[in-house]
Amino acid sequence: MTTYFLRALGKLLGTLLIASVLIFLILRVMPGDAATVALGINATPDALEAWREAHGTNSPLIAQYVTWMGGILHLDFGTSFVTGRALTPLILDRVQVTLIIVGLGMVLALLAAIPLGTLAAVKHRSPLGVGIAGASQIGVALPSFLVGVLLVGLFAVRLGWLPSGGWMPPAYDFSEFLRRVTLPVLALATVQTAVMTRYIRSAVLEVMREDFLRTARAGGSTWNRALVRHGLRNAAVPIVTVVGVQLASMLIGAVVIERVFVVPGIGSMLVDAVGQRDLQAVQGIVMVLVTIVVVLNIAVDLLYMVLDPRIRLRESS
Amino acid sequence: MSDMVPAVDVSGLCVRTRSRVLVDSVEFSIAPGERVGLIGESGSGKSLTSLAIMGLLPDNLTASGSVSIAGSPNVVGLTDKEMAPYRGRVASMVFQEPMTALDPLMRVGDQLAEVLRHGGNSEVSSSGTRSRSDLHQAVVPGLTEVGLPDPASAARAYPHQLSGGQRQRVMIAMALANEPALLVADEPTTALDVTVQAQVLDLMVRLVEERGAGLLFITHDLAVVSRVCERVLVMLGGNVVESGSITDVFGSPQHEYTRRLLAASDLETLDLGLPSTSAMPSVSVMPQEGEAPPIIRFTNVSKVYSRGRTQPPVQAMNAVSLDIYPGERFGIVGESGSGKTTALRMLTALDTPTSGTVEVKGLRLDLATKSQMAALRRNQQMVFQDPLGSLDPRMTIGRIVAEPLLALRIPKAERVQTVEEMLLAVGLPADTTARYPHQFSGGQRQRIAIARALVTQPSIVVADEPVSALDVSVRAQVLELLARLTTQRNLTLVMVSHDLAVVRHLCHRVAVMQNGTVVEVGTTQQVWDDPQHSYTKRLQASTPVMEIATQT
Repeated sequence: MTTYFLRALGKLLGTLLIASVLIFLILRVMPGDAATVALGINATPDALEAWREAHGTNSPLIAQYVTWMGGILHLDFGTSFVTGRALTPLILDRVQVTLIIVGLGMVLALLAAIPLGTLAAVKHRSPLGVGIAGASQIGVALPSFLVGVLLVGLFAVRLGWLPSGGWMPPAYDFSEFLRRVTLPVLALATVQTAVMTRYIRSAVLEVMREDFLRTARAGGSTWNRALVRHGLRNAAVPIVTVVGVQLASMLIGAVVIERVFVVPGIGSMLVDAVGQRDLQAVQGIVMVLVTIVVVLNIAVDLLYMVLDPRIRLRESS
Repeated sequence: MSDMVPAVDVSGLCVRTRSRVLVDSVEFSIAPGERVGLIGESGSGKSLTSLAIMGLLPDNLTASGSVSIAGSPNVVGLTDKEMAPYRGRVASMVFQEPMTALDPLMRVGDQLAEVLRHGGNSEVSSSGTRSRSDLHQAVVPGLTEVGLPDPASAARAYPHQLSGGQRQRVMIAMALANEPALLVADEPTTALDVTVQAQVLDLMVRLVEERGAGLLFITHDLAVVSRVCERVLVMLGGNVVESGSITDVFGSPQHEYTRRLLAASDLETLDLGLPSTSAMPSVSVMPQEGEAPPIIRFTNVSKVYSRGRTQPPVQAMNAVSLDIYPGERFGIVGESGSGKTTALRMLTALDTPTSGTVEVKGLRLDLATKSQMAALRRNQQMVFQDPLGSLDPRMTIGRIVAEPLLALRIPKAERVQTVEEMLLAVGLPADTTARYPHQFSGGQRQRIAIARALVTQPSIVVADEPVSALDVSVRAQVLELLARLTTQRNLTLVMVSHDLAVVRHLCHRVAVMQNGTVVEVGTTQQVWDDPQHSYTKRLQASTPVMEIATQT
């Protein structure tokens, strides 16, 4: 088990190192000069050169990379080319907001999708099951921003129950945080519920055909009991994979929801930074996102081992 | 329970879909302690009958009629919840596939404890407050009884850590845990090696006898039925067409289908062109050693598979030397893990030996150039075990059989003609070409696979368990086809099988493999009549043979 963790840690560090090189290089070959963007097209060549000197963009690539990585190892992402402010507190603030919305959205989605998907599978021949499956099909096709706009139209504009947007950190005013976080989380969760219901339905349908459920019933279990005791855990293995993939794509795709609800998340920060050619900010944000996704993948692998002894015993032996 | 109350009493049992009747008015009764076999081909309704008794039919099928287990009121039509108390306690079941029948994520001991708990066993019923090790203690007697070598550690094991035979023993322990009046076994040993099959069958018979339980034993294998059961029911197309004691039914079968089934399973009556037992031993179709150089030669072939840094490597083959001569039908027999499949992989160059050499037609495979390899592959074709799995379901038969010709750049017109001739040669109508694999039966599919193998006019055919997935009645036909085609086309046939009986009737010579080594080579007649090695003797003794003389 220890060797497994060490290997996982090595994999994590290796992946991050490769990712950092790629991110760094891709941003360097992208067209657009940071100095020109920062100072405007009317800036004198002297001013541009001075800016480059000050921000280090005229030193050799290797040196730039080493400086950047050296900072990251101390959790310092440098300063923004555009605002001149330190990036680290900004990025951490923003990523927190996105993680809260995405995390709550997925938890809510799973709370709804696990019973719905299981029900849809168990009753797959009855109108109820067909109805759930059909509704989830439609839900998958809905873009989350459209759901967001509809939710705003209903709860903020027509009913006036909740604010239409904006953000409040939970540490300052928790009840206001709840009022502001509800709609964006609901918008994300609605679509994810549909997606997860579909996956859970097919995973449970698959497991329902397994011989060991029949064995459990032959041993005296009722159908429902056999499904709960043996079926759901077996169905969880493929679902964990999907949750990992969905979380990663939600994290990146959160920008849309952040825009609709005017939420200061990492996604909108990234889009702004790209627009402003703020290389330093872009590479810092992307690095943070990559780290989260890689850690998520490792968490998924570890969950497999918890769930499935075949993987656990193979990896640990 | 009084002896007057049958373990199970079935009358007028029907199973139907919305439009079709799959089991039609089946009637039988099994007395306590009686062992009854239910035989028939796939699709005859024998498995559905057993599932209907257990109340385990898939929910798109409905049962009607009456089933009484150990004097119970009719259980047909009970809801799942009403039926659950009978299952595992009054009637229980052992299934065919030991690999998939146990929950892979749960320890074996926990699965057995679950059954005990359903039976109201006090030792495990309050499991919520008991530790896992106590629970595993409670299941040890059951695991000991089925002969698991280390019951305490078996209880803590997950299914994938046990062999197929051990899992089937666990299944039997689970089935018998609550002393049921009726045990239903659906092909319980079909997936097991013959020597393991013999042990598991003996175990099952002994435990059922000790308990005085009734046994309903479902199988396609007549030899197994004659070994296990006292009475037999023959099913065909959803009906029981014949029933009676084993001696009566097998000795003087009344129904035409039973006669056919018996004839087909009795390979003795098959003439596959081998020198018969009564013929002069010196006059033989078999090519003699030394007459011609061997077409296939294994010299000291070893294969070691490494399994990562932490597990010891597996010696799949150990210094195997074999000579196979042109025109010979050569069998390689062994159980799982014996190295017979590895030998095939070496021969077909799908894998390379760790040491030693494989020569085909004088060409060392390890030194062959790409073009020599291509020529060799054309010359040496394969037939696989599972005819459905090895045919692309989205290709027409015409395209499947023509595919090897495409690689040879043969013009279309000629291709079409060759394919039609080949299909005729394997006994399929030429209009087969436009149809798809799923439209054919298992036996027909294997004919298609043979056609595909022979269409490039190879001189060597390698067959991996070609008949073990087929029904008995079809098996004989496919064996006949293989024998006829190899003789007509002067082919060399290398066949791998777990079934010594099949190899004995098809092949001239046989190599018996165990744990990666060849323990015995000789003419099939010698090896069968006078086995030298102790393992061969055991294999021969374990091979189920019909014990009743037929008078057809």
